Amino acid sequence: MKKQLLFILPLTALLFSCSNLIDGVVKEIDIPAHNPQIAASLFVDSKDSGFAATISETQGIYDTANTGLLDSAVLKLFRDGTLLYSWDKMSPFGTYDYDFGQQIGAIDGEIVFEISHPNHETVSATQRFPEAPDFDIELNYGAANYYGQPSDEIILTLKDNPSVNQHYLIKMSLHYRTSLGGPDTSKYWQLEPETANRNVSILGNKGTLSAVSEEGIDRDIKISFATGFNSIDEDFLLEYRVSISALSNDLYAFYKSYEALDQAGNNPFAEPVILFSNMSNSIGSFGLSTTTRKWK
Amino acid sequence: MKNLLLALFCVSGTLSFAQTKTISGYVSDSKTGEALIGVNLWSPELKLGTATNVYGFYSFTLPEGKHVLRLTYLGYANQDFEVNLSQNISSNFEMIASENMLNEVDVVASEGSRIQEQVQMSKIEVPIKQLKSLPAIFGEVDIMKTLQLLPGVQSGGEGTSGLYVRGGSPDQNLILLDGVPLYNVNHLFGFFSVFNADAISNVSLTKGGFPARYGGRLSSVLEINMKEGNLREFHGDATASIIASKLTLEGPLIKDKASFMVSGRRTYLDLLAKPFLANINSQDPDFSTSPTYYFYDMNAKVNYKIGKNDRLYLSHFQGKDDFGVKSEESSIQNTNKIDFGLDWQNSITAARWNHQWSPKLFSNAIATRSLYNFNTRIINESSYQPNFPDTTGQQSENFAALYRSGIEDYGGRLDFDYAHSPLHYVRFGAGYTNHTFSPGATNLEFVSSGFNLDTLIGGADVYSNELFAYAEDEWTVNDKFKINGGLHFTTLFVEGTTYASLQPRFGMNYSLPGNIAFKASYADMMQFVNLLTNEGIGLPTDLWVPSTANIKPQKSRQYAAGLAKNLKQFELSIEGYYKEMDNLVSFKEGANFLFSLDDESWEDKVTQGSGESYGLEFFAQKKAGKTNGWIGYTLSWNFRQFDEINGGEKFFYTYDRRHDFSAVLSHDFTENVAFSGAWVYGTGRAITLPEFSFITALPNGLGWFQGQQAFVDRPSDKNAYRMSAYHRLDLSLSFHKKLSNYDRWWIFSTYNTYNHLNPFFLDASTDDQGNPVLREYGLFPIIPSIAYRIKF
Repeated sequence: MKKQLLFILPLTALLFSCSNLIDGVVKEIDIPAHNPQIAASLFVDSKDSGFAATISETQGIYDTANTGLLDSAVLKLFRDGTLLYSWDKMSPFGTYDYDFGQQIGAIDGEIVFEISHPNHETVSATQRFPEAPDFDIELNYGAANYYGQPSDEIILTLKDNPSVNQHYLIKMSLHYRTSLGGPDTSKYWQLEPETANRNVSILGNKGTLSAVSEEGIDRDIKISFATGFNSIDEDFLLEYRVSISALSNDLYAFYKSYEALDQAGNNPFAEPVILFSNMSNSIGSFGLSTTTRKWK
Repeated sequence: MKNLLLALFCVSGTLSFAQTKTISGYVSDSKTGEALIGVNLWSPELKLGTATNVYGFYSFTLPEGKHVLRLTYLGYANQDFEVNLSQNISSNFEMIASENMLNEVDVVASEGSRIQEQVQMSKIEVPIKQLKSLPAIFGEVDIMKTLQLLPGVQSGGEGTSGLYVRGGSPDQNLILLDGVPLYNVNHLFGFFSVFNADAISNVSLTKGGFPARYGGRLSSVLEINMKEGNLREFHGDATASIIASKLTLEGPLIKDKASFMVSGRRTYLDLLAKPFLANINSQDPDFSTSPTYYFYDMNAKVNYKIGKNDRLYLSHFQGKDDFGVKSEESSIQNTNKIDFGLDWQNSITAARWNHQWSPKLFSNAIATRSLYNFNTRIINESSYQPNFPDTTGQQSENFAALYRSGIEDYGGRLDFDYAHSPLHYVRFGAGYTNHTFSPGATNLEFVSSGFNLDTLIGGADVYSNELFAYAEDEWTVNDKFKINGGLHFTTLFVEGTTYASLQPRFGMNYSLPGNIAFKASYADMMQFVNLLTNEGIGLPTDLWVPSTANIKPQKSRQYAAGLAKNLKQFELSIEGYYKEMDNLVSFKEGANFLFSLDDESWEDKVTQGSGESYGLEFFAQKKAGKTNGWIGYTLSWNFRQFDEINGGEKFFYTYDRRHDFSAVLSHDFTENVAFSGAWVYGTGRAITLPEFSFITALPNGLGWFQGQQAFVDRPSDKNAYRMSAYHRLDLSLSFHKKLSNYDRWWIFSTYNTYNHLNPFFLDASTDDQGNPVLREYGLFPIIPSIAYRIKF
């Protein structure tokens, strides 16, 4: 009897459990429910003369309902608790715009961005304008080698401000005229610096993200590269323009995570990316930057 | 700590002996002459004991005079003998195996070998006989899959061979085959391990409380020893299963002096598939395809007793997996050939020399080489005739992408065992390893009419030198209290940077009333190698990379405490642990290693963070007898935190498993019919799912204009969801018959007997009506298998 049981029990288990085998090794599971939240984003630079905020409502990946941009929101900007601006109109382009006609500048104090909406709880984020970037540009005409050809060399030195986290977005371009006289016929060429410094991320010809001082580690960063142009050989006016924006920590984190998102694309082998968010109790980003421009 | 030990020393009273003498020698199997590892030598009168080391050597120092000593070893008959220690004695012993193990009395652990008497905690040994009796997928017994059934050890997922020990990752396991680190233990994309059970004599896994002699990894030490080979008779063992066959031969080269063991295994999926492929290819004359896959491994060992005090061992392991698909499509005008392939191979070689310097001092010197290579190839050759039917002007394009990565180590170490007195057993040693890492390079070639590209992307070799030294003492303070304390020093030289670490290790055993042992341990560990792995896919694209000037070494601190007791034939233990880990390495969000052609180095794609795991493990094991097996349960939590992942928030590690239960049973109905079964249950794996989307503004920079918006998909918080729970029942039944010249077995087994879908991955898509659905996909339904084994 013992022996018979030994055969009968596994055989019964085997026979009565083969439904999955027929259906294939796959089963459907419950889709997680999603509660819509406000997703608010606003980025302000000291040289901006207006705001363009985006307010949307999150939509579950598996939801069939079509939601997106959110109307009827009220947006407010406070400095140290005092209301600076309030606006509530969404433009035809889907942005909440506010134009105040002059550069906002790097306002001192704690800046709070607050969004309220009748269907959602009020959400907010707090930032400060970072200090203006402190940097030097050294331009050496024809001093570098670019694929075997003489080239101008630019050396950028970003100066450390000890114990302050400093993150920069650097954009450089070559501006030139096709003739020396007459109207301004400026054209420009975005430059692509190359550097092996691990604290500098090159974003193609779009710009460069640099972490100068970070998490208590202080350092000066020097980026030197051949521009690919040789002013000595040129007979028209060349001008190198450098725009450096000091980024708030959160804005830097947003840039980094958006870069990662962009890099991942739709590659199924890429690690999932969570776009940076600093909205309390919700999703979205508020970031501030202070820009200085120099040219040579 | 020093004061505490001093206080314990004074309060407890100590054992002391005036005049001592030493008995030393080797213990071996009476039939094969092979060394027996872990044989207990016990003095019932003094309640003191020692055990043979991995070479079968023992050294036991006792007070001068007459003593009755007892030799005990699981599966062997106990031996009592009297010895008169008026001088140092050298004495070798042979133990007689109780082959059938049907007498339950034989399997009650003897004094000195009981779990409650050992200082070492968090160590599990699975007898090879028990291991080989368990059910196996496709009829192939797998050591790694059996180890996954132990408490505190988890699998990476359905069918995989990786070990996740107490919250650690697979690269944190030091896997030593005959003392040589082995980097990749996977065959067939992880469904099998490289260890051929027929070539193995001993397996032990240490999960914590690491003595000072171990180092270089954070989470576990898995020691596997190859068989030495029968010193007296020639024997063979052959098994044919559904997908592979293996053959082991062993015997004396010089009787009682030198022996060999050689074992080989190869799959024959490629050979079985050939007729089917031929049939498919014959149906379309313009298209042919030839997928192929095989793996093989080979173990070989020679040992030679030079004299009374010296022994030499030479071990070699070699294994390879080769997967490829070649296809050719042709028409009158065009020809297109594609060759895609993956191959990876391991090899290790070790030469060891044992020397007994004195009755108390034993040494082992070892020189090693370990190699792991992984290669991928994509080759495309196409040609076409633009002026067809005129054959002049034929144009061709050739593209080849060859990816390679690997690691090669040369090393040496010298270990000493010094049995100073009955109360102190000292071990010390030092070692050196030279690593060469090839952390992934892609060679791209493109040749077309008038265009030639040949470039190498990424992957310059990295060289590093690792040194270590250690000393430890197992001290019997009194008959209730034992400790093992030591220091492990390690240093790494890499890219002009030096890392150094002095790691304290401590373990203790205090005997409570009722013969219950209270054990506690602390271990500080550091490791200089990292495995970059994509958690999602489980392909053998794992990339071994070193600590560098930019990537700091991983560190851990593990605290453990527990109770242990032998209850008749059972070993019972309950242990709690807490482990902190720093400088763990993970891919950054968005990073992609597989087929990535950007010029970023691997260092730019990774980030470092910390980890934390804690849990409680219960284990009841019966190692031998007609009915044997174990029950294990683990309750655990496992977290990770990286500044650049999950917004810097702490998250569950993907292999966080709240509940993990296993029950393993083997039973011999008769001498010829044996049954075994294993049931395992585990909480589902933590995963990240796509969760919601929203619209964001983009900053006015990087070419974006003010007011520009982007639609963004946001995944859930990292590992915020769970796959369904994992559970599976495996059964096996074997029939043995003794024939005139050989023994034979028929082994029938089923994997996943009740055909439960154990999820391997999740996919979000739509059903026939266009509604979104989430589906879990499993790999293996019920898999019955049959194997035939002969032993001669």
